[in-house]
Amino acid sequence: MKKTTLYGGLAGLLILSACSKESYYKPATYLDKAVNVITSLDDNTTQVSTAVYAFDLTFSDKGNYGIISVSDLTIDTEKYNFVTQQQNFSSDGFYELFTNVTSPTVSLSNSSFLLTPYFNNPQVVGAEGSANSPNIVVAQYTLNNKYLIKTFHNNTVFTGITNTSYIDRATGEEQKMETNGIKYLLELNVPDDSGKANLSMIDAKFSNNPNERPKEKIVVPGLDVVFSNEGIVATGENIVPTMVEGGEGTPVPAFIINEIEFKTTNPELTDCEITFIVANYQYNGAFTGKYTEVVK
Amino acid sequence: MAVKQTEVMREEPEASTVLSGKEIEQLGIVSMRGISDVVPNFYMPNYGSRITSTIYLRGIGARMDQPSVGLNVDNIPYLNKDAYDFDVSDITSVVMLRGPQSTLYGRNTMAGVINITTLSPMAFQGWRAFLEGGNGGRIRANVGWYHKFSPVTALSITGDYGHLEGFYRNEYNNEKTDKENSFALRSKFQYNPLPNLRIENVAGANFLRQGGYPYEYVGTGKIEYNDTCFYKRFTFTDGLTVGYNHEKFELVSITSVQHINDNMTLDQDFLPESYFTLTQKKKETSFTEEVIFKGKTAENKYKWITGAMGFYKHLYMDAPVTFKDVGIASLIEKHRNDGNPDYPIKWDTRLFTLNSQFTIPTFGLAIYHESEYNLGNWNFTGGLRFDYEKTILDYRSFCNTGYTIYQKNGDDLEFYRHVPIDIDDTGKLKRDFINLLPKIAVSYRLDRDRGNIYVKVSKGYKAGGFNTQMFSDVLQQRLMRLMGIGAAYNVDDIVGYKPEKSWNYELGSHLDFHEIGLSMELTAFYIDCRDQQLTMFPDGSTTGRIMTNAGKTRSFGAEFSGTLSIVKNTLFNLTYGYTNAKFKEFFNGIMNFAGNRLPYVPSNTLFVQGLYELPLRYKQESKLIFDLNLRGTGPIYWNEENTLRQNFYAQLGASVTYQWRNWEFKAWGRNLTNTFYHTFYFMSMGNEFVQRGRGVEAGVSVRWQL
Repeated sequence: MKKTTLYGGLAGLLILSACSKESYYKPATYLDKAVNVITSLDDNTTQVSTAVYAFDLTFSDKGNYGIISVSDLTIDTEKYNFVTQQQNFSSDGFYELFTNVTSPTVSLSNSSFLLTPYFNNPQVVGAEGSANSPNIVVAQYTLNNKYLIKTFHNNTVFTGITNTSYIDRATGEEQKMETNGIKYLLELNVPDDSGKANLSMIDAKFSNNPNERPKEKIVVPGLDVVFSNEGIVATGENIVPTMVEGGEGTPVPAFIINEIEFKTTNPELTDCEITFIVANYQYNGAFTGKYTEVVK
Repeated sequence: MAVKQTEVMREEPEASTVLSGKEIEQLGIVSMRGISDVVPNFYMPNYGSRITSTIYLRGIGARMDQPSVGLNVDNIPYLNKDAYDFDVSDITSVVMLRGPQSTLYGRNTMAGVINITTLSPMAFQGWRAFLEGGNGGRIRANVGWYHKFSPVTALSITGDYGHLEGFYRNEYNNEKTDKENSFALRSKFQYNPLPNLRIENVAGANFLRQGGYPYEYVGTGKIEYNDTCFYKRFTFTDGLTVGYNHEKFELVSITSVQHINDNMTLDQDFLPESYFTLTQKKKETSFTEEVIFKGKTAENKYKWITGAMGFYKHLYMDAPVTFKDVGIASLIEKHRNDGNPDYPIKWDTRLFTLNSQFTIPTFGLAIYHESEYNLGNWNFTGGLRFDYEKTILDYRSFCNTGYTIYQKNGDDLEFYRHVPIDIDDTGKLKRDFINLLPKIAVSYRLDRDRGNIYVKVSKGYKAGGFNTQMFSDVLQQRLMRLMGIGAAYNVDDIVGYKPEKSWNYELGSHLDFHEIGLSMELTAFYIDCRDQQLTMFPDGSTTGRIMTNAGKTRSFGAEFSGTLSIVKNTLFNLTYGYTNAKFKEFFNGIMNFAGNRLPYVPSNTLFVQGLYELPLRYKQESKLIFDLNLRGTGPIYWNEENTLRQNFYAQLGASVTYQWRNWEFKAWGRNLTNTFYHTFYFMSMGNEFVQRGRGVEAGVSVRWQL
């Protein structure tokens, strides 16, 4: 009995001493330059600017912890740089999530900072991305109880379901098609020209006609972009798109975009809907989808 | 005799067709295709050229790449299906084993194996000559010299020549499309330095040049195309067999080398307009080495065979596809300009080439064992083979061309931009395959030498690999992708395919009723095939196609072979095969074909023959042999949708042979009813094509031996 107690005590001491040191330690730093949609809580006006988000992360068997640095965030004419307190974050291998962060220099509230390469994590992003994609930040936070900030990116790709309806030229009947094969790339130009955007349709095919082959990339240039607390909306009318051919664009007047609208549909700005009417009302299309990758 | 088969096939738990030299000569069989006429459920139609050897047995088969039936000639394994269709003279026996033979024979014997043995100079010495002429400008001649230098040394040399003027005419240039010339030389050297040691070397060279591809466009009912079609092939094989016989065991080594050098050139559209042509040039050299150890105990109570086999083959292929004027205009420019008529394009030249070159080394190793245990009337057989194979594909696809985009300005076209197309893609793909191939059989020998009844379960295997024919599709898609249209293919995803595997369940019987001169073989089978190698469309797309393992099929059926000689000097032969082969699972990206019949598989095969020998009293050592036969095949579905088919058709054949001493004169006819039928159907660019079967064929021949 005494021997057992002695050996048990020794074993306990060994276990405790093992816990006092980190036996697995992996530091990592990720940087992302993101677009910030900034809404003033005073007058509900919205502006956009870019900022760099840096995540210094430590993965260890004692827990995961890190700090977030935000630099060059311009609001009105003031430039903000701040660092959060070191705190724990949750991770499942595909994302790192910080919530309720604090900073010694600014007030942060209602905060959520997600770092992810979009690898198929439906609970968070709902995306089917690639583990090789760059890490991006998906964040929402209130700064100094004055500004509601949501992150976005200049070149975002959305995938989801496209439904089209069209008149079959051979039969004159209305046909419908549903596909998950078309991707959409929204190209903003924040901060240089935050009022305009290009929307590209990648691997675009709008009918079941076997003679219609998917187009590598149809670019619809010059959409008007509006940022608000509700989200991002980009619209356009009667735009001649260009089709990428031999690496450059060729105008395709026959495929004129009569009407097109892109809008985000969730507070995190990761979901969107797109509607379009093309080719002099021959095709109607509607897309719903999610953020999958950022082209950097 | 083939080393891995026993002398008396009817005592084995195997469905087999055995043809003697006399039967082969009577039927006029000189190739594997001729064998298909008389073996139940074996279908090897005559279409295209001698490279297009479609072979189906019991619903298992292949139109491209790996074969499902193995071929051994004088123990030399033929590894490439492209060289299967050749003529062999002086055959002394053909043994076809139906059902998977993968345990003993390994790769690509999933449906069966054919073992051909040619005449030995130890068994015959002298001269043999054969000359035949027939309609279609047919001439066939062979001469064989067989000589024994000593009791232990013998040599034979045979030469063959074949010519066919052709049966089909290309209406574009009024020339026969299926003209053919072939030359072959074979030597067989046998040396038995010791009573129990034998050495045999068989070497052969074969040259073939044929037109081929008499494909009729269904739209016009004509064979009419403007570009050259031909198939040219040179093959060389050499096999060395060394065998040592002990009273309790036999040890055999079989070493072979084979070389194929061929060129298939096609007017790929088979139309009088210049769309595109294809050339496929190939050089392949293979080495095989097999060591077989066979043994048996006293009174054959226990027999076994153990072996190890290795092979290496190196293939180089150059397969350019050339787009021509009409092809460029209608397949490329029109598609592109319909989508953007305000900025039309014109190609730089009216001819450009998509080039594909491949190097494919493949090697494999296998070890196997089969044991047979006899307990009274019962026989128990079990075997297993471990098979490993590795194949590598080094490819280069390249194309150098371009086009100009114009801007339409009223009726004028103004230069907008030039788009150069410069593709040079290289890559390397690898595949490894490991397979265990078992076999179990139980048979019961009936009393009074009546025969046997058996059940057998065995696994079959067809090697995986790379479908090089897909590369022209890959390159086309790459080119269109550069033009901004079409979906890009992932080469690794669409070119590689896994092995096809099957489980074969068989119940059979060999029955002999000697008192009435009747012997029969009956078989019932069920085959479950996985990872079927099929052509399908990528998910969600209606353009392009890929080769993949996408299906499950099942095949069941029955076979009957019987010989009856109840009346003196008469012999009746009957073989019948029934196959019901369907898809269990097959979705090609657009349609679901589950429950449909497999295309190119005949549901029924039939061969009926009556032979009557009439000795001629007025002339000693002379007789007349009358042969009347009927060959039937079908129905055959031509597509997975089962919307097109060839109905069952029968062809009447007959011959009269006069034999006198060393001479034989024969007059023969095939398809005397001039039955109209198709042997093949396919679609290209949305156009349907068929190949008609040959009408009446007739000829006379003379055979002499001294």
